[in-house]
Amino acid sequence: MFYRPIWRNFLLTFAGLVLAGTPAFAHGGHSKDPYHQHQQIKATEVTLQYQTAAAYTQELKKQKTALPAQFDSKLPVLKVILQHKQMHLQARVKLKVTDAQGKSLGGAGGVTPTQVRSSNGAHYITQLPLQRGRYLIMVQFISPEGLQRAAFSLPVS
Amino acid sequence: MSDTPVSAADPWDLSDVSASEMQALTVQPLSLQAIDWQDHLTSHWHNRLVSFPLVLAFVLVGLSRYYGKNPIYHSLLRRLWEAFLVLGWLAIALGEWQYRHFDAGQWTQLALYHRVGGYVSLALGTLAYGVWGRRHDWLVTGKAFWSLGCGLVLLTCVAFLGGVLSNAH
Repeated sequence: MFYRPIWRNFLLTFAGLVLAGTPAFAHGGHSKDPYHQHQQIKATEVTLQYQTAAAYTQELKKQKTALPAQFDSKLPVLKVILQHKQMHLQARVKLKVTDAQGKSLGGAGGVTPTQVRSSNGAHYITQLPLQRGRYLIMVQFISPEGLQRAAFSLPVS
Repeated sequence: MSDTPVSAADPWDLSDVSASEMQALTVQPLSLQAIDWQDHLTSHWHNRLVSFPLVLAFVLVGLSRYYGKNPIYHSLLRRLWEAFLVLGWLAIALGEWQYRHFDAGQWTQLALYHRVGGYVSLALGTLAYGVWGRRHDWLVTGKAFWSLGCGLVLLTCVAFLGGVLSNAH
């Protein structure tokens, strides 16, 4: 036997529906991680990751890969991954990093990153003493479509 | 963006690349006019709607536990349960529609588990609603509470798989 709904029941039903809808607002979109950015350059997806040395070391440890010879455990890591049609692209890569004032870090001519081969494929890393501020990072690489460039704005906090 | 002229002398000497040139290569923020509003309004409705039945299921089990004994709240619980079932089946229909345009690729198996799990949990929810309709005292029994609890665990697992699919794809 069900009783007739009273106004309180309607109110509670409404509150339940509103409560049920709140996660939908949180699902509005995936927040962009400034330390993990992607850019599609023709058929190649360029990924830039900014990690602490500890996080990068941990990641390589999980992949059972040795750290590069010239690895500084105090400097953060700028990691570049080139994926071409779901295959990790092994190509010549050069980076240019400038700070908010337009000053180049690691040489005006650019920085040649170290190639690291792991079980997941090859990626490229460089370590620069990035302080708090906004940096521009340009990645130049050879893809099957020729010489390509991508750039990222990296806010370091 | 990638068709920026590259110095012919030595393309790997980046000394002449200015900060403004680099800035131009970055992904610029989309203007409101450049956003495909129609696409955003007509896509991913399963993802948007699915939170409603999910949270309604949690609200239902909680309210059943505390208000199930009082018949005055039964109509409220009925309405919430009906809302859960309608929205749940609608979410499944929208999921099926979304799946037609979804290239699962390497996530095919996960998508299958998510799909089958969704059907099973909603079918169990519908069955429980039917049982409660026949036996009005069923909701307050311990058996009902544990059955609904297990259903919630299943629903949470299904939702988790959906979250993995939507974030990782």
